[in-house]
Amino acid sequence: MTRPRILHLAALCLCLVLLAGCGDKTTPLPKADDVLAAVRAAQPFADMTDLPDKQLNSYLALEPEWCADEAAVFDVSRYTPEAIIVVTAKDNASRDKVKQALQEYRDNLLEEYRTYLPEQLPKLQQAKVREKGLQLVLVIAPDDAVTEQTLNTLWK
Amino acid sequence: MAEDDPFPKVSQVSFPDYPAPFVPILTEPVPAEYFYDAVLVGDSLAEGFRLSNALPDITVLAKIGQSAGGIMTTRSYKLDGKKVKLEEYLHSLNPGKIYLWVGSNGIDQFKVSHIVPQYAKMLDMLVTEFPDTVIYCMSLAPIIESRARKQYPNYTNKKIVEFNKELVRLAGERNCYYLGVHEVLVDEKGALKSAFSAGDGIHMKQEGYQQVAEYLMRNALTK
Repeated sequence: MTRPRILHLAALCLCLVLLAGCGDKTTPLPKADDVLAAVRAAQPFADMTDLPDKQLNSYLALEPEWCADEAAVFDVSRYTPEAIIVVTAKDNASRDKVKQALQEYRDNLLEEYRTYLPEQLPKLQQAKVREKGLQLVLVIAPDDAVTEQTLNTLWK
Repeated sequence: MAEDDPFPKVSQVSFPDYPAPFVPILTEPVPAEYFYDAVLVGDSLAEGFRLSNALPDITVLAKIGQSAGGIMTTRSYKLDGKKVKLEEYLHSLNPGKIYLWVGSNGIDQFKVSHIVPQYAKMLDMLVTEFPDTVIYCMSLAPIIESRARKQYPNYTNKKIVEFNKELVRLAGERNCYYLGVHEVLVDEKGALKSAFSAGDGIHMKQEGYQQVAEYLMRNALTK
């Protein structure tokens, strides 16, 4: 093969790669750590502590093989139920299981705080599991509207 | 003195060098493996302890607002999709050690003499169900009364000390062991050290849980 033909072939391959890229409309999901940092910075939370992935999985009964990327912080005092949990699932089936686990966690807290510290209930009542593709986020925060706005900006 | 069974069931664990209820202070902390077969049962403090990750190898069964009375009457724990009582959940874990950190919920509304018999019943049940398991009764933590007063006006350090004294008795009578975590959390005035307080005067920050974890690692029964 002559040198000009090799260059033409290389240029063609490059064009095909670029075209394939233009055709892909899916935006990559932000890293769990970045989502957590953005949500945390958007409003004042209690004194939050990181929970490593292994402990998070155990705490929420998540199987490690369901999760591609995770990050979580909690108010360890439990005087407030404040928490930020971000999990990117590995596939659709895993996403459904993680979503169920997060919803159960929120529902259990709602039940426990109803009698324990009822003044904390609004934070739990407004908290919901939000999702974008395979990424799921549960934020228990003083102001859920701020959380929603932050996630909408991140997930544009 | 509180009314409870004058002839309670007794744990069958045997540590001839360390008769119940007091636990030896170790010169070296126990290794992480010590907690592989340990389960901590408790309330919001236990839940916070778990989330603090101060002792990652211990299994924690916590429920916000839990009490000894609640443990005896309510199916609080979810096992294989259904709510079960504590003993059923614990049997599924087959623990070598059970750490109990309950007693604070209700202390505001009731006299200590009302809460102690509930704790005694819980202990009797656990000793019966788990005769060969070491049972550690962790003392209540001190509080900062001035911060807690608004929400819990009758929750006082005096009542906490009174409860803890009763806990020493209950544990000793049943060949169970008492862990005075209170001593590493208390200041010279008998209150929770402010550095450990989360703000409401009752719940604790990470630093407090770290102290508790270090205490548990240095106060343990080893063969």
